[in-house]
Amino acid sequence: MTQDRENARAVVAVRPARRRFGRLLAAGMAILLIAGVSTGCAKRPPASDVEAVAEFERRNDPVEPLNRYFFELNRFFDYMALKPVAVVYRSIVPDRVQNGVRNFLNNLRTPIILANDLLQGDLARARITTARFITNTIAGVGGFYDFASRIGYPRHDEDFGQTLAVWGVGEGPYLVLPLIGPRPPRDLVGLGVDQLFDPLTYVLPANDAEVVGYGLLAADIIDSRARGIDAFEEIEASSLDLYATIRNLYRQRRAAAIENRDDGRADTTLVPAQ
Amino acid sequence: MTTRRQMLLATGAAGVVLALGGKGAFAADAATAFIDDLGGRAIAVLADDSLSADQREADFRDLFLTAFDVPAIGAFVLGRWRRSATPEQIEEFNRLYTIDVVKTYSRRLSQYAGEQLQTLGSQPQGDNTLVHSQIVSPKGGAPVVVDWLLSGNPGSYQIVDVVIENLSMRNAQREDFSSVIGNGGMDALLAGLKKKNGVS
Repeated sequence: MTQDRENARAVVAVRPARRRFGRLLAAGMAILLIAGVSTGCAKRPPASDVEAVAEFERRNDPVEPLNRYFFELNRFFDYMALKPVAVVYRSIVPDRVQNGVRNFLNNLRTPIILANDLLQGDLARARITTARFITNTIAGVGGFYDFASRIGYPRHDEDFGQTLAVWGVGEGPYLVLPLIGPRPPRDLVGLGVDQLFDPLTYVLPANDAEVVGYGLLAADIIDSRARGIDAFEEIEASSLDLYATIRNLYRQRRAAAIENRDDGRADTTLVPAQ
Repeated sequence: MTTRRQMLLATGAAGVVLALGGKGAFAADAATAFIDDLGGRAIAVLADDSLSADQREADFRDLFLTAFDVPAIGAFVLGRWRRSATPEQIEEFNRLYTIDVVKTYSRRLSQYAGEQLQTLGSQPQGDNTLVHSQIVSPKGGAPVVVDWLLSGNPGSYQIVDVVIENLSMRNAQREDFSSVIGNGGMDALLAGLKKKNGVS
């Protein structure tokens, strides 16, 4: 009993710093949000212009000024911090290690993929996901080596946003969030629900090891960004309105992922931060 | 000893015939052969060290402008704005868009580092033909899947869309251009194309 109370006190002693950081982050976000909301909404064209109205609805971006604001903000964060780190990571970490990191992170994602395979009623893919996890965890030394791909179990990805789409839920209006990037309501809900499917969400805090979770998240973000450097520079170079181009590419990529036209790569080939 | 060498030669020859036969089976379809041939010619231009920079650029230009149906792609990406534009604006757009296509694909090719284009056959898609291919990097890693949408018939094929990893390039560009025109009119698009390609 005393032991427990001591532990609790120790936890309390550590928490304030973290909470202060959280509060600072929340306050920062609130300021950004207020500044963003003041930019207003997209103007709906007059009903007499049938074509313009059709395009407005297809674009489905009612808070476009706000989205553009966050998009530019994310570009600034990317330019100041994420991209430089990703460039360094790509140039100093050997390719083998980079691939090992990616395989390891992919393997950790298995519970989320499996849950969504099952929720979509796709037993064939669920079987592959399971076989991959067992193969790669054992023969792939904890997931660092993707041995399963070599023996006929190729990787695919799933998330709860895709599951909702399979269930018939529409994407909703386009939404760009600070730091997270494009997440229309359906995919935002999906992101939250996927966290609930992830055992690490429960295991790490129970062992007071949240820091491991932050480390994994950071590795995921940096590695994904590093993989997208060339592709994203090409998109930047070939588009006039980058925001509109990314909005289109985001939707095309999601459509391909939902219909399983991709090999699970649709979620990693493009930059997540944008 | 001779017989052994002959046997080796024969085995080698059989291997070559098999390899060619295998390739021939893919190339039997004219649309796939068209993309195969185009890839080969682009690499040939890249690999020809005797060409000056200007000459290489001119060769690429000829190659792209025969392979791509630039007017059709231009009409697609302009979409509904095409009808409200003046003939002068359309003419100027066609001029700038041609420069833009050549620049874009020259830039993509200039990053060439020994990748291989492998065609994987074709299938009809509406009135058009879709050729599947993948680009394999010599460094390893997952190949990049590229689909080529062709209009026309055998002998007169032209590319109308390039789909990289399920992302249609003309589709993305239509939204890009439409956004620019929606915000600043046709003149904003023309100004943007000029600025991007460094021409007047």
